[in-house]
Amino acid sequence: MRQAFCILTAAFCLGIVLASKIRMGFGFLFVLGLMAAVLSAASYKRGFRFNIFLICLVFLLGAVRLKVSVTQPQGHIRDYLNFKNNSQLTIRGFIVSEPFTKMGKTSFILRAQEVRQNNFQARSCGDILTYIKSGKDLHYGDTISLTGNLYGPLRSFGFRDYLARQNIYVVMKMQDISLVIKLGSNQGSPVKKFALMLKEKCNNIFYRYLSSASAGILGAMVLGEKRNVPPLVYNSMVKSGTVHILVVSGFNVGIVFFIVNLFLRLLRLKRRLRIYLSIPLLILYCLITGASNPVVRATVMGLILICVYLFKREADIFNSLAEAAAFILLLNPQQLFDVGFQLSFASVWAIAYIYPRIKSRLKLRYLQNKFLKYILEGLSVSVAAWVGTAGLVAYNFRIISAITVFANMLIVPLTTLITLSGFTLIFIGLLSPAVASVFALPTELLAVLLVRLSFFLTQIPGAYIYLPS
Amino acid sequence: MMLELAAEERRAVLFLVSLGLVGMGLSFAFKVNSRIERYVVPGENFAKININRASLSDLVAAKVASEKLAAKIIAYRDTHGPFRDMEDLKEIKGIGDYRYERLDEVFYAE
Repeated sequence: MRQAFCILTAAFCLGIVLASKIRMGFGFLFVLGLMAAVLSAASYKRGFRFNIFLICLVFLLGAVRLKVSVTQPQGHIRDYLNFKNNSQLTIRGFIVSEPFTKMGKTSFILRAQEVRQNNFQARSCGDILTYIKSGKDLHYGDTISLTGNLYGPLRSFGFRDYLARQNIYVVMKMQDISLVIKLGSNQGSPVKKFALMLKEKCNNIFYRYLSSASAGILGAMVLGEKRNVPPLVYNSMVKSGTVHILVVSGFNVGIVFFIVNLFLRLLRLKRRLRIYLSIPLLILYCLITGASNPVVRATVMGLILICVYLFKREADIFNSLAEAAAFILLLNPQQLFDVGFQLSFASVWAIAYIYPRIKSRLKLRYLQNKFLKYILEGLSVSVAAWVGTAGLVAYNFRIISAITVFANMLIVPLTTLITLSGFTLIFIGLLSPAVASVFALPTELLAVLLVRLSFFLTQIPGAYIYLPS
Repeated sequence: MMLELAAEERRAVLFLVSLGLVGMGLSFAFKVNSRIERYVVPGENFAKININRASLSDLVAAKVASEKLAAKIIAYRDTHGPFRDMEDLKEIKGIGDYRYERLDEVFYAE
C-alpha cells in the first residue's frame, strides 16, 4: 500500500475544495458517491479501473463531508441571530473550552442546549463564543445560564471566517456578571477535565518559578498555551520567521514518548507493554495541549509509527502524514482552509521531501568534519522548511522574512534546550518543589536568551519585508 | 496500478469509504429532518416573572406585595446580588410564610 494514502487524501482534499467553490446540492453529490461505490465494487478485480473509481469515490466523500459539516440542524443557535433586536435571550448550556482570562475579560465557548425568550423556551444546539467580565469561577464542563443578546462575529482580520472554520457563528458579550448563573459542573468529558487540571498544574509551576514573560513562552512551547506570550515577543518571532517554535509540535510529542518510555523502563516493564502504555499518555498530552492541528498531526503520526512497529510493517512518512491529515479533515473538513493546518503539513512535507534531496545534492554523507556536517544538516532542514512554507506565509501574513533560515539555525537548537528544560522543570516541580527553583534558573536564562536573540535578529537591516496588501 | 493495493486492502478500503459515505448520508438526513420542538411551554414557571429582572412596578403590579415591601425586595437584590432561590426572599424583613407563598405564585428566581 505504498503511498496510497497520499493519493486518496489528496482526492479527499480536492473534494472539499470543490464543494466549497461550487454550488452543488448534497443529494447530487451523495448519489454520485453511491454510483462511484457501486462501480468500484463492480470493477474490484480490474486494478486500474478500480483505482480510478475509488479515487472518484474518495473525492466525492470529501465534498459530501464538507456539505454535512456546514449544514446546521433546525433550532441551531445561529437561527436566533435574527431576533437580536427583540428582547434578551436566556441561554442554558455547558462550557466546552477552557475559560481564558485576560485584561479583566473571560472568554470561552458555550455549547447551547436550551434557549428561552420571554415565557417560551426551545431546545437548541451549536457553539457560542462568549465574553464575560472576569470574576466568575468557571471551568470546562460547567453548566451555566446567560441572559443577553447574540451577535454575529466581526468580519475584520478574517475573524468571522476563522470562527466559522470552528463551526462558531455566534458571539455573546456579557457586561453584567450577575446575569451569568452557574447551575452545575457535571458535563463534558472526564478525560478532558483531567487533562485540563494537569495543564493548570503544569502552568502554575512555570508561573511559580519563572518570570511572567518566560512562563508565557514556556507555556506556549510545552503546553500549547500561547495566549500568554507577550505580544512584543510574538511579533518579533513573526518577523524573524521563528514563530513556529511557540507551537507544540512533533518534537514535543517525541519528548513525551521518550520520557514516558524512560520512566516505564525504570519500572522494568517489557518493551511491548511500555509501548502500549505510552499510547494513552500520548493522547492525554494531545488533550493537555488543546488538541491543536500540529499536536493532533504529530500524535496521529506517532501512533501510526507505533502501530507500524507493533505490526512489524514498513513505515512511510508520507503515508502517515496523509493519514494524519485525513483524520483531522474527517473530524472537521473546514480545517483545510486554516493557515495553521496548511503550514503544519507543508513544513513537515517539505522537510520529508526536500531535505533528503538537498542532503544528497550536497553529499553530506561523505563529509568527514562532524561539526560542519551538523551545521549543514541543520541549514538544510531550515532551507527545506522555508521553501515549503514561504509562499503560504507571504500570502497569508504579507511578510517575507529574509533572515528565517539563519534565525532558525540559531533559535531551533536553543528551543530544543528550552523545551527539555521546561519538561524537566514540570517533572521536578511535581516531585520536589524545593529543588525546582534550582532548575528554574537555567530555564529562565535560556528563555531570556531566546527573547534577546529574537529581538536582535529583527533589528538587522532587511531582516523582513512587508508586502503590499 | 497507481494505488498499489493488495486484494484485501482494496476490500478494506472500499468497505471503509462506502461505510463513511453512508454514515455521512445518514448524518445529513438526521440534521435536516431533526424536528427540534421550537417552543416548549415551560411547566413550572410559565407566566411567572423572573424576580431577578422584575422592576419595582412589576412587583407592585403583581399585587402580592406593597410598594414598601417591593422597594425592600429591590434593595435586597441590589445589595446581595440576584436571588438564587425563591427561599432567599425569607431573609427580607416583612416576608413571612404567607407573603412568601403569595410571591412564589407569581415570581420565580433564575
